[in-house]
Amino acid sequence: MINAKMTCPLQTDNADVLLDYCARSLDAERKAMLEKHMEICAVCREMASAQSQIWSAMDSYEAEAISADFDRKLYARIEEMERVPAWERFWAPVREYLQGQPAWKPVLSVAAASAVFLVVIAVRTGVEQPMIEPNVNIIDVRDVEQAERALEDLEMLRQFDPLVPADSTGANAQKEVL
Amino acid sequence: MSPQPLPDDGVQKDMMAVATLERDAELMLRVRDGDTESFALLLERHRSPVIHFVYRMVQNQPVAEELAQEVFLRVYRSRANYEPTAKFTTWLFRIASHLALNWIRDRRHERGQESLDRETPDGMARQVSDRGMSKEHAMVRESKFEEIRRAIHSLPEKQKAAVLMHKYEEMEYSQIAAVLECSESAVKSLLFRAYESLRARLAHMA
Repeated sequence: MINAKMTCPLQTDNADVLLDYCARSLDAERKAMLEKHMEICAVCREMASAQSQIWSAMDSYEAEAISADFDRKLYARIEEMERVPAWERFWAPVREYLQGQPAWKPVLSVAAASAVFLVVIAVRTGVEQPMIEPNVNIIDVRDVEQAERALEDLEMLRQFDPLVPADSTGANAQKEVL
Repeated sequence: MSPQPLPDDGVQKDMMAVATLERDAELMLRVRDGDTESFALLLERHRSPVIHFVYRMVQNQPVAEELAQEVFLRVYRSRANYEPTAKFTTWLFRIASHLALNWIRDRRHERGQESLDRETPDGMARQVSDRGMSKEHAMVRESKFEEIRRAIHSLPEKQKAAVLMHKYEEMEYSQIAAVLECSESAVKSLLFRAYESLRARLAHMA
């Protein structure tokens, strides 16, 4: 007798237990546990009922009869394949692919390959070029410009502040303010 | 001496599965060694399941037969490199599902996403099989078939393949996963969503 309780398969992400139950592929022990659980779980009961009905309805989707000459056609294809030389067998899928493609597709592939080739060439050419040394003069010019700008700012401050004498430095001006 | 108790259903099923697995691999190894009779036996064993699976995928019998021939042709072509590392049917159905999915993709591309729902399978009315049933019974059966077909066909391709293998080929989750090259939990999820859609779409039939 089975006493073990089953946790709800739908709440524990184990819906496959219900699918297996409807497909009658659940082992006897788990089947009994599920049936016991379904006595108290309406959601599982309803799902199992709906799934069972779908499962049997799907039986009506029968496949069609197979043509009587299926094997004959297959062996004819095998024979034809065997007659073809090995190199031709290797080339045939590539040729079929190219024949099945619209004209622009191979052109696009060639264009993409050319683009990649050009990028590689460009990168290689770039690497071979000598490194440009940093221009020291430019840095010097910038420093001079900054110093000039600082002096101009000081001059402007002198014009606005009457306490700073026209010939005094910034340090002297600070002393006088104190 | 008392008779040996028969193994229970589950054990018997497992033993049969192992025997089938060994038989297929053995036949294929013989094909590899040049035995064409063994290829005929493999064809005999797997012809119907492969054609039926492909038919339900592409919903066109002549196309299904042509694709199934391609499946067996590829098996024959690869015989020299065959190694029994995986289940033979897994390999067979992997080829079959790839060919069917590629055909569906190509066809969809050709038809500019036009829904196949608008036409009956094979582009013509399906012949009602005459098995002594009344005309009304046949019509009801035909209409039910058509609804099921449309509902299955409306599923996304991978869900459809999973459902067809689960329902009609009675494959285990692990084998479906191996065919579709995904995890077992992904297969369970695919099946759950697929059957959920089918239950919603075919609720009126319940």
